[in-house]
Amino acid sequence: MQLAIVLGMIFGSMIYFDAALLIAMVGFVSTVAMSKFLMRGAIIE
Amino acid sequence: MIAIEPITIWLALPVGVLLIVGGSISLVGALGLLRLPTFYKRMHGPAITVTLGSGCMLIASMLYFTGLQSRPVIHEVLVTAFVLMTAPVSSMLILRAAVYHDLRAGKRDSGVESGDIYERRRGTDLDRSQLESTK
Repeated sequence: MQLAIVLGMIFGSMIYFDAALLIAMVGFVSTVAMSKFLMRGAIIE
Repeated sequence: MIAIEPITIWLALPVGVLLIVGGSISLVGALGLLRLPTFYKRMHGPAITVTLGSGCMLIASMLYFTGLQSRPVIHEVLVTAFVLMTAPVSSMLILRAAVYHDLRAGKRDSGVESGDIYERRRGTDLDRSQLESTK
C-alpha cells in the first residue's frame, strides 16, 4: 500500500491511489476472514 | 527517466519530511516484526507500520497532489480513515484468534514460547499454591 502511494507520487498519477485503496480493503477483509476461520472453524456461519 | 514534477519549496519540505518519517517508521515496524521473540510482541510492528507509516505517507501524498494540481485534493482522506478504522479491529481479531489457539492447545505453562501473559499467570498460580502449601 505504501509502495503504491509512493509510486503514485513519483509518476504523478491518481491511478495508484485506487490501487492503494484496493490493497487496504482486501487486506482488511482477508485478515477478518482468516481470524474468523481460526477462531470458529467457519467463515460464514 | 523518472522526473518528479516541481512544486514550491514550502510544500516540498513538509512532503519530504513526512516521507522520510513514514519510511523510518515502516522500517522500524518491519524490524520489529522480524526480530521480536513471541507472537504477542510481534503484533505491535505491523500495527505501527499500518497506522503511523501509512498515515505519514498519505498526508505527504495529499500535500504533494494539492501543490501539483493547485487545488485541494482530499482523496487520500478515504484511505487514511479506512486504515485508521480497520487497523485496531484487525489487530484485535488476530490477537483473539492467537489467544484462542494458545488456550486450546494448552500452552498455558509453556513459558516464554506462549508470551508473557501466561508466564505471569503461571507465576501467580505458583505463588498461590505455595501459600496454600505453607498454610
